[in-house]
Amino acid sequence: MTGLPLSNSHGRFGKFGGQYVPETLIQPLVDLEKAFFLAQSDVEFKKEFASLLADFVGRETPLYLAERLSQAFGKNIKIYLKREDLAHTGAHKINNALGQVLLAKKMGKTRIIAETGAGQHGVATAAAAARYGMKCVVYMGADDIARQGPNVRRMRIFGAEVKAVTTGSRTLKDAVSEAMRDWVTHVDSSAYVLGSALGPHPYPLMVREFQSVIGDEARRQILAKEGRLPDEVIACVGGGSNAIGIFQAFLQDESVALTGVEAGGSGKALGMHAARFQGGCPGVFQGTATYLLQDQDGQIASTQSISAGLDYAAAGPEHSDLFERGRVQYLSVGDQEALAAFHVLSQQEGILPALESSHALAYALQRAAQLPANSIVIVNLSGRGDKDLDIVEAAAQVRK
Amino acid sequence: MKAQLRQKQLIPFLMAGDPNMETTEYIANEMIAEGVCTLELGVAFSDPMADGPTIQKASARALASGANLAEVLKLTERLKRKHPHVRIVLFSYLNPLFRFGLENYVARALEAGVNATLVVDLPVEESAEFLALHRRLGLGTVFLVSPTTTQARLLKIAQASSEFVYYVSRLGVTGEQSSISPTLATEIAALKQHVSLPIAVGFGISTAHQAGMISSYADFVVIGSRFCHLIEQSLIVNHYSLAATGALVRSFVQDCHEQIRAQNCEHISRAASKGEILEKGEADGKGGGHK
Repeated sequence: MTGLPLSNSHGRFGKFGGQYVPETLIQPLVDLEKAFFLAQSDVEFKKEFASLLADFVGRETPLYLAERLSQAFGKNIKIYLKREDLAHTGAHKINNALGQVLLAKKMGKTRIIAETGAGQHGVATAAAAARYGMKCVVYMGADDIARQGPNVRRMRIFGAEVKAVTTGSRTLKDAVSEAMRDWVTHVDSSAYVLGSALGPHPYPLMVREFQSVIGDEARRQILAKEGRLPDEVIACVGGGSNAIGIFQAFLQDESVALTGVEAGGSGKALGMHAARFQGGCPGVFQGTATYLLQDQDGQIASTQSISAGLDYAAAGPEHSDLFERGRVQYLSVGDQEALAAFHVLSQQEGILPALESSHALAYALQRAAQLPANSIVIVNLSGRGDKDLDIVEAAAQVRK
Repeated sequence: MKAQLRQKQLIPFLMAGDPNMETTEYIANEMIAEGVCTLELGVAFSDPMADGPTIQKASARALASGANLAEVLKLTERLKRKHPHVRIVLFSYLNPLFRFGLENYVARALEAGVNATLVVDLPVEESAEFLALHRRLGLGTVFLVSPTTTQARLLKIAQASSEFVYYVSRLGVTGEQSSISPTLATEIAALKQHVSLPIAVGFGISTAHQAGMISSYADFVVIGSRFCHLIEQSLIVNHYSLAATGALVRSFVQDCHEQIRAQNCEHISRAASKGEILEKGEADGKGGGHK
């Protein structure tokens, strides 16, 4: 795994992170942290997890040179795609879901709770729970249920109960709150499997560890293929689990530029986007201190994005620290640019990217035009876009 | 003062600004007229993770009417000017205070007459700055204890609290429940071994009878969702008539006070017949109502 220090005081990343939760959840979080740290040095756990990643998920995922895409820029620029879209259930989410479900099993829990935005984490958790014969309840915003139908059907087929959340903005943040309310009520029997590098300690740390396989593989693969490190690694950032998963392997490599791409949505005004590092400021939300979108009274702002997985008011706390330290640059890409990138990749490479990943791609395409000759870029293609066909078609209708 | 603090009390929770500040002020005045001497005022938050549907809705209505921390402090100021003896505890999530500026908050809260702050998503481990500011400027604090709190942490929580310790009566979020946990009395008795501050019990208490029962072993009984629900219903049924709503609220407060008084008279006479010695301060407080 990462080789970075695992334990920090209450899960701090600089001044971000922490454990801002109601009292009832402190002990369950302490227990979870303990189980997680134990698992990190448990040979059996690591063996089982590695074998699942290989044979259940289908790792390692390829690092694919997108030749036609790259050729358009000339100058021998190479765009590589880390193919998390090829992971079982269609996105990187399965890495973390399996790790946490396995941990829950070891802790003697019988019921799994999860939240989901785009539905990818929900599907991954439902699959992992089915694999281990555990009950699974997934909270999903009613608006997200409406726009990510295929994933809802998949979760139900895996045997999960999908509960529609109709409070607040009816999206991911409300699903997280509802999942936490369920957990606080069923702490004894249930494990909360959080899907991104968010929430109270130890989740941001744990999710990073379970996702670090992406960066570990990508680093090894690029060295094998090119004999050198990439010039830039690009990933989309909702909560930021795919991004932290790939970035962590390159954090110490100063020559590698790291770029996180947020959802620019449909406009710059508060409520129209999910660009936390451009329109937000530090605050405390859903268990963690981090950058978030909020109004002048500290109320959490609603967000908007064509991609449900990026449509969240807070970035993970480690991203906030990387932002303030200047190690990672964060910028945003709007709905239309992401849609355009979705079509470019589909038509030029025969790969259907998730709308989330399309944000990272859109930036990569802008960036490639400015890069010096012989540059190498890796884009984390965090998920596949089958789930997004309805949205993409609806957007095309609107444009006509 | 301490003796008065020890009196068995109902502590009503009101979501400030639900559905507007005038209503909250009116209801608070009615409650105080009915003998309430400690009031919890909720600061509305967009994502109240520790609250059940009733307070979530109350919070959303308050936000829709423009409630914010500054307005809650103004309400506190008006209430305290009229009733200096009433103690006011502000019940909030951290982010509204954080955005206001913690230091600014503590200073303004003191000016307004707030007695203590309870931040539901601020566990004692994360509270260093919050505590230092409260102590330096002399504003009280209340922290939560739950059935999952370990003894080591309980001691830290008791040390960090100055006004009372708030025991969460069950695993879960706020909201009305038909029954109270059968182990609650034992849990409170265990808590008293380690905590010398008064103990308030809340989360899920919704009837006057439950309030009475709990008051036989706890100092304060907090009722929130039930009041929010009562106000919500009455405003609809009675076409936003404040007078009708106030009368309903007063009648429920009165029921609670009667139950608390009844339970504790029984308790005192039972204790006295067993020859148990009661401390004077405590015995004085068993009356319950404060009219």
